[in-house]
Amino acid sequence: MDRPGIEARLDLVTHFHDDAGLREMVRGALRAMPDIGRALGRLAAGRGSPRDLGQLRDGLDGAWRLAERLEATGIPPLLADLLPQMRGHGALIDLLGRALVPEPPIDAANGGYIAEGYDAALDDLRDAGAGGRRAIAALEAEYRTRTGIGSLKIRHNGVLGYHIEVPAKNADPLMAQDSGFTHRQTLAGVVRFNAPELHDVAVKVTQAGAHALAAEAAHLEDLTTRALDAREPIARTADALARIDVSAGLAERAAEGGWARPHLVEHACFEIEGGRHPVVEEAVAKSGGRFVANDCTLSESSRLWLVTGPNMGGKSTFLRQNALIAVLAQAGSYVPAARATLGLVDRLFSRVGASDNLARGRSTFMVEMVETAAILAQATPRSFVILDEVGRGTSTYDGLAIAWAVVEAIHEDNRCRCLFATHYHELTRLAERCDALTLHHVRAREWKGDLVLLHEVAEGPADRSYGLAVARLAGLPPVTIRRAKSVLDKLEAGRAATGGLAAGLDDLPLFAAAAIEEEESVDALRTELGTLDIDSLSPRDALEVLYRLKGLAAEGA
Amino acid sequence: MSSAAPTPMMAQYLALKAEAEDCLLFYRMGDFFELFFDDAKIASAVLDIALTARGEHDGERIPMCGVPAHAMEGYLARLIKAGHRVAIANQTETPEEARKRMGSKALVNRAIIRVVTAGTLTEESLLDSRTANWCAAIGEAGGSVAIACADISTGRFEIIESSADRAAAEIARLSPAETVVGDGSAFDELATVVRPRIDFDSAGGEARLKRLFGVATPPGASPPIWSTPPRERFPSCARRVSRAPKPRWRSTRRPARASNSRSVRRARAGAACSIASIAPSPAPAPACSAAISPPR
Repeated sequence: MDRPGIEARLDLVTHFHDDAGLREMVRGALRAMPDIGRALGRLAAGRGSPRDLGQLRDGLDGAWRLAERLEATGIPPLLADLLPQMRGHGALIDLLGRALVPEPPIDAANGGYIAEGYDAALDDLRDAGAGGRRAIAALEAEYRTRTGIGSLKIRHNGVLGYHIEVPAKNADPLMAQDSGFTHRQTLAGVVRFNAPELHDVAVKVTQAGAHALAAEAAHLEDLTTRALDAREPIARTADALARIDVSAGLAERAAEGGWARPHLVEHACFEIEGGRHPVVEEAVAKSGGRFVANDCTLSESSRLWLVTGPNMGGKSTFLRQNALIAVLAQAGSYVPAARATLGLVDRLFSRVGASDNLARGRSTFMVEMVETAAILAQATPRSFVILDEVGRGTSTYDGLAIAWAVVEAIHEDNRCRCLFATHYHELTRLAERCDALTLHHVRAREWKGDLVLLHEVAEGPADRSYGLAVARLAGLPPVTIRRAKSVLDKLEAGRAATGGLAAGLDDLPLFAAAAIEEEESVDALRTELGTLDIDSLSPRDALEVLYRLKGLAAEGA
Repeated sequence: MSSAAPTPMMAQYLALKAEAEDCLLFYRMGDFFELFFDDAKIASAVLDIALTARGEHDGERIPMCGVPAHAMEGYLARLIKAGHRVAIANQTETPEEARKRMGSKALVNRAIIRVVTAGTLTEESLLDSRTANWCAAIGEAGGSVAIACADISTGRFEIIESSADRAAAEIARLSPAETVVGDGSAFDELATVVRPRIDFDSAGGEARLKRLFGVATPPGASPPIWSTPPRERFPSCARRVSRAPKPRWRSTRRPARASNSRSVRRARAGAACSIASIAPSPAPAPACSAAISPPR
């Protein structure tokens, strides 16, 4: 996505953001509209129902009205492009409006969805049916007087069709041969009969009904074809509505949350003032707290932030909120910050959280390494990367070594904007060697033996990691905490004596130099073997290759 | 093996089941859809409905369960959510027609009218109105990866060309309801449906696409990228499309409206096969049968 494209989207969001009344109107109108894209999909797939046509009618009509209300001078170009797509279905709306009842059913089998007055022939058939039903009612009255049975009824069911039903105690006179009634069925309490006059009328009613159904089905097919003739323009209308929906929704969120319109630039910077994590902020607000907003300023001279500090201090939240801001900004949304200036990002990478994938035989550490490898291989100077505690999944020395090398690689090779959270304080020494790396920490205070987390990101390294304090906060038994404290004291005494975990690391050559050295030691024999395509070798070639390999092996030795 | 020949109805059932081995078969009997054998055991567990038995087959009682036809959608939704595929075998004639044809002991003709899978839904009640319902297929050849995705509920069809390392992110972005990959693919972890590699054959895919979109001319200069012009699709895809040469033809037709199941199958197959047409050479086709791994 290029900058003009994003700006065009942002203009539309701004349009709805700055006018609360307009936003309210648009969202209300959209909420009342059926999903015409899916209705059209069902019709096109041959699974359409009368209700889908009804939804098209209502949706297209709603789109037209909405477009008219959105029309104004000085609207953003993107909106001006969308409005014509929302109109132009007048003939179809009119047709469907005349043809269909207001609330068409899903099931077409029982008919009743074509409106009265649309088709005179259909109306006649329905009249015939209704006339027949009136005639049946008249017959019922006539039979009652003729037989003298007041409780005689004419009923209808799926098996017998129309029939005369009388209580069993009154049935005898009708059972007589010359009564004019034909016995059909005897049940526990009632006996059912047929009669020639009733039969004639019933046939008429049934036929009229069947013809009416067939006529409706023909209309349904015709209307569906007419609607599908316009499927491309209708699909464009659905797309236009979707875009307006997204923009109005983003504008609503921005207005609710006090978000800011990001300022997009071409150079690789990332300047956020008062950035927040929208999800955490809402959770914190629910429990009555206040989210601490933080700044983040990445630039060419300070493109890699190394963030240290206690657990629970807000490192992960800080990393994620900035990644979210990048995503939101580039999607054309406002961002949860007081002010934001960002250079476009080509890709965003994250290595956060930890989840075992034991089902596929991958440990936490393996997943962590696979993802880190992908980032190192793919991140470019225009990418944005967040790395949360890389190296924590293995032993201290291994982890520190990996984290150290990853930071160097990101700094020297990928040269991307990166936020790197870690517990390895030894990494802070990298600030002396990597000129675009700066140190930051989340603040905490120990007050009367209790840890107070301030959730503020400040410059410089953390003074200590407060691991034990957090453990106490989490409810680790006091005995265990005391024991841990004494172990820690011993370890720290040892570190003071030997220069600590990272002693001697300052003498290491820089990453780039080391990488080249590694390159040269590649084994000629392996390279040769790697390029071999065994399937394409003739036996004679294969023998020659064997000799050559033997020669290489001799050289290497 | 069998102690007695199956009843005519059971023979019909088994023939239909053979057509849809990887699906649960909903077999219409009057006002109910019935499931038999293992299908019945699975469905009764997922749907929490009574498992009963009916008749005998190979000397054993046939497990059976059923759902009323008028309430089918709800049950269908739960089976699909649980990762199953469902084939619906309906009666294709009325009992009267069958009697006219075959006499009083006639068996009503039945046929599979639709295969319902997570990626081929159109019913309002089975879809989430807030998200697209993508059915994606991943094809690999010549070191690059192509993703064909169709949202059958709206008729959208797109093709994304990608590199191997980016494809997983694309799939994550699309978050398809159903993902079809070739047997032995590098993306089998993402798959909900694995099909034989031969289904991803380039020439077949190209022919199918041409038929589907009603075009006769072969696509433009390589690599051909198909989208459904002239609608502008997602910006991310539009970006890729604009990099590649424009196709010479423009389609103005969506997949033709056809009788129920055929159109779906064509669209599905089109999505599955079209990817391979981007690749310069046909993919190798190891002799392996399709397997199904339902999503969790």
